[in-house]
Amino acid sequence: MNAKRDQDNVIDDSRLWQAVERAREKRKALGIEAPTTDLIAAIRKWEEKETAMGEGNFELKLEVEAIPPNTVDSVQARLKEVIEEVVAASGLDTLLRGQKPQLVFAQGLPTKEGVDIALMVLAFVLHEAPTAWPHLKAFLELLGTRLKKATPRTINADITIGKKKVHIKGMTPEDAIKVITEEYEVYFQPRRKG
Amino acid sequence: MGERRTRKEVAFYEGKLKSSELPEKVNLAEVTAEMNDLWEKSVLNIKVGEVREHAATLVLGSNGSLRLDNVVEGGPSSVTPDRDVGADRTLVGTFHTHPYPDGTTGMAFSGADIAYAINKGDTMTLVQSGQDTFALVHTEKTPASVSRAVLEAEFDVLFDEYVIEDAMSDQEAALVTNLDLCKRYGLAFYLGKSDGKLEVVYKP
Repeated sequence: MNAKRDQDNVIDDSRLWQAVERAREKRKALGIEAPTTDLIAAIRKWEEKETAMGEGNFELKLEVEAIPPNTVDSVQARLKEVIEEVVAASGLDTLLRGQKPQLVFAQGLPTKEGVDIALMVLAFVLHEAPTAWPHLKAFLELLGTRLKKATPRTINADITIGKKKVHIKGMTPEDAIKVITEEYEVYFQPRRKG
Repeated sequence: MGERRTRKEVAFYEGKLKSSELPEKVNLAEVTAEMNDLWEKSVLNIKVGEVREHAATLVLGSNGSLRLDNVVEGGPSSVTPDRDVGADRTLVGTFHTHPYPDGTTGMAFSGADIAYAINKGDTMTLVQSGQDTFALVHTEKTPASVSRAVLEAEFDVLFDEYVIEDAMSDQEAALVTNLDLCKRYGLAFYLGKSDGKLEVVYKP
């Protein structure tokens, strides 16, 4: 216990210097000379990269018809359950940095045909868009699978990540996923190999 | 000088400002002489290849003055700040140096430094490496605790990538790795020279 406490109180920078030595060995092995340092230029480069990557708002609107004997309330409760499960199962929760995805349930909307629609809006901010993409895709795929039991249903989605915007209206989850995937698969090639 | 400190400045050092309220510039003029003195002590024997990290505790006195207390000498790559401050002072954070036997300077925070800053909940953490001064500032977006091991591993991965794939120097790679981790862990980052005039680089 005391050893742990002592360890917590020590600032041990040895790994920083190990990283420096490792970098120097790598440069030597690759025959690269250490570049001149310009911290301000490095900051500008980082800021440019951040701008290119961008942060994105993710907002998904789900409209599910509540066909009797289901009520709007019971459909909304199931939607909430499904969303929470799928956010966790897709790993999306690990990217939200403490954010709770906002689940907003509007009142049931009566349609002309007299069928109530349960409307749910899921919203959160993605801070690292490229790394978020695999989780977002998994989220949409899992959601599509889970919602198959609740047909008919449509998805309206407004997704903004970086400079890219996708608007989807009145599509099935499968079609929505197809559109989003096509829109993003080129844009979201990871910049680095992980 | 302390008496002339504005309420907002006091609130800043007390860690009461939100990220959006953090100042663009911070002036540490009151403590730069001591910071520079500790840097000189850190590299006193560098000619024979010996360096020693030095640390001190940054405190805010009851009259609003900023000062460095509890100077301690550490080893070549580690130091244990003495965080025991008097009841009449507010602990703001810690300061320490980053010397290296071959004379490398300009090295920002290590992964361990960032983990320490988060886990201790310090308002401001300072590092001086030669003429460069770096500061981490806690915000409402900073988590209460992190795993040092995880943070050090993240640091290594990012640093190696910046060195090899972006062909950055060691100092540049450390700096942008710091920025990545500040973004990930909701810390603000300031950069300045040994005159104590720091400017914000990143606010979460």
